Parts: sequence; structure tokens; C-alpha cells
Amino acid sequence: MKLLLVEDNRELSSWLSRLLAQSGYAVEQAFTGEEAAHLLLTQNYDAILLDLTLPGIKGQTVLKQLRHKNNQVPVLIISALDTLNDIIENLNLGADDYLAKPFDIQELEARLRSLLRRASGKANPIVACGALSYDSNSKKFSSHGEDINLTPREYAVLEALIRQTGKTVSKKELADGLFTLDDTVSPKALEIYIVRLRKKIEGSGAQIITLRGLGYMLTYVATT
Amino acid sequence: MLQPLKSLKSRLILWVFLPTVFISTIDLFVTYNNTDTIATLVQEQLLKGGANIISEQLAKIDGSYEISVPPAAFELFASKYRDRVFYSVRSKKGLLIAGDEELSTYTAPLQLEQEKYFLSTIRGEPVRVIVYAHALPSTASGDYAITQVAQTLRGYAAFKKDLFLLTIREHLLLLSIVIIGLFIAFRWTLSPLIQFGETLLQRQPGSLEKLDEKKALTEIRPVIFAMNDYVARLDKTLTSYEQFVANTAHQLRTSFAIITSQINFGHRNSQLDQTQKEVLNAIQKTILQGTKVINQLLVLAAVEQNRHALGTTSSIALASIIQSVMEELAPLAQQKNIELGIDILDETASVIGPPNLLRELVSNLIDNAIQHMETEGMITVSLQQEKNSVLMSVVDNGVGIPALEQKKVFDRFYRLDDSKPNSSGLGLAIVKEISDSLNATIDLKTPDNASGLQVDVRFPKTLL
Repeated sequence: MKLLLVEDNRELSSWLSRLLAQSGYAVEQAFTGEEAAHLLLTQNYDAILLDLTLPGIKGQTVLKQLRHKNNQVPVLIISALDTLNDIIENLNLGADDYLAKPFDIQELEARLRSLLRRASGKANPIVACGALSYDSNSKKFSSHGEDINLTPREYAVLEALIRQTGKTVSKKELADGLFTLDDTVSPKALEIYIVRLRKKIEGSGAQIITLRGLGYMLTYVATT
Repeated sequence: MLQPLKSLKSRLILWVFLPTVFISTIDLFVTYNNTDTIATLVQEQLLKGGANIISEQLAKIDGSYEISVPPAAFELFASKYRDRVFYSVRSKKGLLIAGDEELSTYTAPLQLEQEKYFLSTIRGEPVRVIVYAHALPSTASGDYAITQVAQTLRGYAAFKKDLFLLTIREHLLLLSIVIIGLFIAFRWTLSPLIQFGETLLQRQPGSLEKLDEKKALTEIRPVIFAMNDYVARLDKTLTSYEQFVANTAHQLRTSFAIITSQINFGHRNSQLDQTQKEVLNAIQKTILQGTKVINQLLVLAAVEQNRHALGTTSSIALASIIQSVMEELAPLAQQKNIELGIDILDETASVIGPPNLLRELVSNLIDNAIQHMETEGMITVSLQQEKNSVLMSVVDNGVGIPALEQKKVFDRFYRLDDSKPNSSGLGLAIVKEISDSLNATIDLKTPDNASGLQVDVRFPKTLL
């Protein structure tokens, strides 16, 4: 995988390149908008990491020119500007994703992987939350690579939750999902499934959080 | 002591009205004297006419004087004031030929065919008297008679009074015209100034809108010029301040990004012992904290900017913002074993404001509650509509804030407890400043029947 890293801060650029190279990416660096525009004329890349505040031609202009030429290479903006307006503006210009500085390399690589997968036209069959992952093809959950055994009802609940990771799913919604499996799902029963699920996914970093009055939410909780 | 006059109106009244009154008074005084002269002259003419008629009737026949006074001589004096008239005709030697004894002999020297006037008293009443020496036509020996006619001063006084009243009436009319003129002057001349003042009062506080100088009067124009110039310079200063904040934030973030990538590199590429890992993790945590402060400072700058920006904000349902903020903060709460929940969440309650600022307000409010819980506990958010406001409450069962500290917690960088490293001291300052910019109010209190803290934010209700 060949990446173009457009970042005017040479130190940041060098550290990022080293990190990305270690993960197996071939990284070319451009330090100005002009350099980037020039490289983009002659080279093909799998993805571009683009800073916005560049000397000379701005990142936005590079992006605009790129899309104007109908080049659909995935672009991930890395910028120190992160107001809502900046994000919207750049996504409108044709950026595929946006990451605000400072960012963790794991986050960057995760976004990059997802961009590259999307670009390759393959829908991602695997949904992950922490070390908990769900393969929608095999319909299996695993934690740290080991399969988790779930009853059909537990599976239905956890699937509904992982499909909306980071979002609340109301008790009613969860109960409705179970309705096809069991004629009556009492709130009490739902609570029992949640308690069991919490135990089964323990240690994966993913947790089912109760937001009282709203519902349940599956999310990654870092250990302190 | 007289208060210095603070309004143009009162100054105008003072400097237009007072001189007018002063001039009027002098004029009245002069007129009063003139009326006396005129009334005297009129009475003297009458007396002269009467004396002429009487003296013409005198004849000396055979050494004795004969006179028959015609009624016309007295009709001359007839008036509604019922003046009393006396006359006497005396010979050269002072013998009374005809008339009243009461008119005493005139002793002062007197030339022939010449009249003199003087004031006297008859029967206790003041009179004006004419004395007139009249040569007897039938005698050539230079014999003459002295005619005196006296009239009481009633008619004279009434006439004088009438004249004076007439003048007073004219002056009152004049003063009324001046007052009406002043009133029109205020309306017509001062109204642009008053309007200008009202326009300034009605402007949003902090507004950097320029004032229209084209329609303004010449006298106000320098003020508008000065204000517009001031606004322009202020705008420039604020813009450069905002630019400065943005640049600083950009620089710091880039530096933090470098440190983060260096930490990432360190983690990946070396065999670290436990202590080294801890150090790297601690640095990373500090970076996160620093990033949070930068973001909060940017929010504060955005609040300032919002105050000066012309309001183009729409009405937003707060419930969705609250839910999404709670989802975002849930992992943080979970780490501290804090249970987040809602009590009432009115999905129709909407407020007016920029979405990003509303989000920051809600986020900082809940985040602040999480940061200040000592141990596990409960945070409950509610959103409901009141008669004239939308009320968002965040209640926690933590340690609460002592009443004395409650005002200070809204100060920037104020911390209740310095030992808490995660608190930047900006959270509630942001909440306060955003609330102020949206005309919302904040109340801190101890929740009913419990310990902890309840923060109530009341937004003005949007008119649908």
C-alpha cells in the first residue's frame, strides 16, 4: 500500500512515516501543497493523508484540484483545525474522513484501514469494539480472537448493540428484536441477558453501559 | 446647589425660556410707566377740553361776571367709572365766580392762556386738576379769570389698568408662542439625536455592526464616524485575537501530535520495562489533558466570536444533543463507576443557538459533574419545558459545592480542589459564557432531599 503524507511539519511527518512504514505502508512525504500537487500528477497512491494548513497551496486547494480531475483516491484529512465547520467544509470538498491532531497512531491506522477497504469496494464484514469483534458472515462473536458462546437471545441483543456501537439502543428496540424469538420478553428478562452478556465480553474492553432512562450502549471503555 | 443640567432639553429650556421671561419682565416694567403717561395725557386732554368750554362761557357784563356752564362741559367726562368732576372759576383776585369752594385758590404764578396740571385731593379723594388763566375778551384791561377743573382718578386708573392688562395679555401670548416653538424645536431638532441614542441602546451588547452615517445630521456625524472607527478597530483587534488563538492552538496541537507519534513509536519499538511504560502513558495522559484545555480555550474564543457575529441561528431540539453527549461521555463515567441517566427528556423542547456551542454547553456541564464525583455515584440529566423557558438540569449526588464557592466556580481556571489534575477549571466558565451569550441563566443549588449539586440552565423559550 502506497501512501502520500502531506504534512508541512517535518518532524511530525518523519515520525508518522516511520510509524506507518513499520506497519507495512510505503510512505512518500510532501511538505508543501506544490510538492503534493506535483507528486499527484505523476504518481498513483492508495490513500492520501492531507494536512490543511500548508505553506503555499493550502490542503483544501490540493483536495479540490484532485477531485476536480476526478481522482477518487481516498483522502484522510489530518488537521489541527477541528471546529464543526472545518470538518463539514472539508468533507463537502470530497475528503473521506477527518482526524484532528493530536491523534493516536492506532486511531489513524484504523481509519486508514477502513478507508482502504471502502475504496477496494469490499464491505467490511467485521465490526469491532475494543478486542470484541463480530463477523457478520460467520455470525460469530470473538474476544481476543477466541469465539464467545452465546444463546440465540444473547446473540440477538449483542448484535443489535454492536451494530450501533457508541449509540444508545432503547430497551424497547432490544425487546422488539427479541420478539421473533420469544413471544414475551419482559424487561426483567432483558436485564438478565445484559448481565450475562457483560460477563461474557469482560476483558475485551467493550462494555455494555446502561444509560438510565435511555437504554443500553456498547462502547469501548479504556481501563484506567 | 444646582445640579448641572444633564440634558439638552433642560439646557435649551433654560437658555431660551429664561431670557424671554427676563425681557418680558423689563418690557412690562417700561410699559407700566408708559401706560401712566398715556392715561395722564388722555385725562389732561379731557380736563383741557372741559376747562375751555367753561372759560369760554365767562363774560364780564357791567363789571360783574356772568357765566352759565353748559351741560356739554360735564358730558365730556361722563364714563362708567362715575368720576366726580369739580370746577371753579375765580377772578383775578381769587373771588369765586362760579363752581365749588373746595377747589382752593391757585396761588402759584400763571401765565395767560396757559394751563397747568397738578394732583390734589378733594373730599378725601385724589383728583387731577387743570388750572387755566383765561383773558376776558370783553375787557381790554388785561383782566382774566382762573378756571380750575378737577376730576377724580377712577377712570384714569381703570384706563391705565386696561392698557397694562392688554400688554400683559400680549406678553402671555408671546410666551405661549415661545413655548410652542420650543416644543416643536425639541420634536423636530432633537428627535434625530434622541433616536440616535435609542438606536444605540437597542443594539445587542458587543455588536460590531456599523452605524449608518448617510442619513445622520451633520452634528451627529462625527460621533458616528468615531464610533464606526472604534468598532472597526475593535473588530480588527478581536479578529487578530481570534487569529492568535487559532494559530496558538494549531501550533500546540502540532507539537502534541509530534509527541504522541513519538510515544507511539516508543511503545512499538522498544522493550520497555513497567516504569518506562508508565512514564509514556503518563505523558500521553498529560497530552490528552492539554488538548482538552486547548479545545476549551477555542470554545471560549468561539463564544466571543458568536457574540459579535450577527445571529443566524436556528431553533434546535436539545434532547438529541443531550443524548449524543451522554453517549460520548458514557465510557468516561463508566471508568469511574458513575451511572449516567435521564429523568425527563422532553423531545419537543427546543432552544435557539449555534449547535456547536449548545453541544459544548451540555458536554461541559455533564463532564464537569463526572470530573468532580469523588467516587461512584449517579448523574441525572433532565430536560423539560417551563412556562417561559426550557430547563435543563444536571443533578449529581457527589460532594456538591459549598455555597461560598458557588459564584467563583464560573471563573476561568478556578478549581475547587487543586489536587484534581483532570480539571482544567474551564468547564463551568465555558458553561457560563455560552449561557450568557444565549441569554440563558444558570442556578446552582443542592438538590432536594439529597447531597450533591444541581445545576439548572434555563434557556429562553423559542417562539414557534
